[in-house]
Amino acid sequence: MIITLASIWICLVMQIFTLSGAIDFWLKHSTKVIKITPLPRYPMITIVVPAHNEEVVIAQTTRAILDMNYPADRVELLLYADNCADKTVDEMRRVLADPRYRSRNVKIIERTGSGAKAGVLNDALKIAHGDYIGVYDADAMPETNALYFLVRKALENPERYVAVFGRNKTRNAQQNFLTKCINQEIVVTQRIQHCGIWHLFRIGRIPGTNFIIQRQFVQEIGGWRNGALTEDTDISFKIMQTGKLIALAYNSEAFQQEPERLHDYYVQRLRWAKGNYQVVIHNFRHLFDHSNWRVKLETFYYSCTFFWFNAAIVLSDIIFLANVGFIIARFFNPYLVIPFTFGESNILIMQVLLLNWLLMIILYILQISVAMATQFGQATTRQIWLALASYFTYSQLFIVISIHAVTSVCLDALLGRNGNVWIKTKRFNN
Amino acid sequence: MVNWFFWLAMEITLIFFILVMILFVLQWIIYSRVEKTMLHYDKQHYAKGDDDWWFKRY
Repeated sequence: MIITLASIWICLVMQIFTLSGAIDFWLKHSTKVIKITPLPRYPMITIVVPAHNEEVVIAQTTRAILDMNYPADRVELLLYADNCADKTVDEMRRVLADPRYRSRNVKIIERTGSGAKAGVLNDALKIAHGDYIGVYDADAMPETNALYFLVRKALENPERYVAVFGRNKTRNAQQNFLTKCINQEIVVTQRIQHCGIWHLFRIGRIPGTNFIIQRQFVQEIGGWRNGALTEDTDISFKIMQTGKLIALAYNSEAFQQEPERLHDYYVQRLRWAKGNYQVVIHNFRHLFDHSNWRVKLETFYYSCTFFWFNAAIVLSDIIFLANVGFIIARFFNPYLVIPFTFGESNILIMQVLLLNWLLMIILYILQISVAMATQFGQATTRQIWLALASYFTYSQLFIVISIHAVTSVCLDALLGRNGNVWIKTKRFNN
Repeated sequence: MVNWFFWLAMEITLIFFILVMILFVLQWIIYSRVEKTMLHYDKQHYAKGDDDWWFKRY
């Protein structure tokens, strides 16, 4: 019981530390007005869009990419219809038939190979002509200046910033309770975690979409790991290992579609969790070798989050539920002893720990509130109530997902199963 | 042991409480700065009839 509590306290220290970094970042950026000024040069960008059965969203995404505020002759677009069984290719062709886009440098490639998204990116790497490769998922609609901001950040220090990533926003945030909760989670990840960690340690994590990376550099490190469930986390570690940086262009935004049904959400997050566990296990040895300090810190952070803290939260939930169960059972048998206490008569310690829990809930809401406050008009009382509701519902779901993911990763290893089965996230027409 | 743990929990809770208070105040500072900057920009924007749609605030 004491170990569980101590683990949760350590987790809180880490969380408050990251939150403080993010707050410092936003205090410095909250009064900044950004102007779009011409760049010293416009490097050639090859944008890759891997699309596997994406007929519902691909047209919107293609148009958004082609309409971006970046010189048209400096953009090469590779649209990959990866093992498609629907009308993705027809949709791509329909958009390109528009007279506005006839002169654009766009290739549609119908692919039948393996390797999932990483396989597509590796294929694109072989034929790309750009100085940088930009990646947009088929459901990610970039904002007009998204690419401009990424390139602007990369040009600040092209030697060190080999990759630059932006933010993703939920484009179907108002659809239902689930998408509202996902939106809050994404906002916190992007505006607290990413900004805080970049500000404190100059550590960036490549997301699945809305990022650019130097083509020559990716070729040097051997490209993406074929079949990886989270190819983005995997390549982030590879980049950090070389001592180069993944810079954050916090004002580059893309609008991404999130799952609208619990089942789709569960499947997507299970894949992410499994992928992250695989990456942590794969990189765990770097904690003890002569790796780059950023790799060590990231491995430590991921290991703590995915193994130690998760285990502590699961254990604390078990203790809580067991005690609640015994309290209910006492109504029928008054002689039952509650199993996990510091002595049933010790009311004072119980009150302190209850206050502790209350503060944890306040911290959870506070970090959502800080994240919302960083953008005009988003910090509303409705978001506070939503945060409170999501603490007891949505965020508890991740405990189930993480237990499922750990079990699945262990069973994959024990039974020699192929754990890299990529299940596509369902898209919605909105 | 329980006595020792009680005082540890007490101290941690107190530090935690102070930190939450500080973070709460800082959150209001960020909120007011962001809203003020945007409203100030909007005021200028409408007064000038500015159609500089590329102008972004963060």
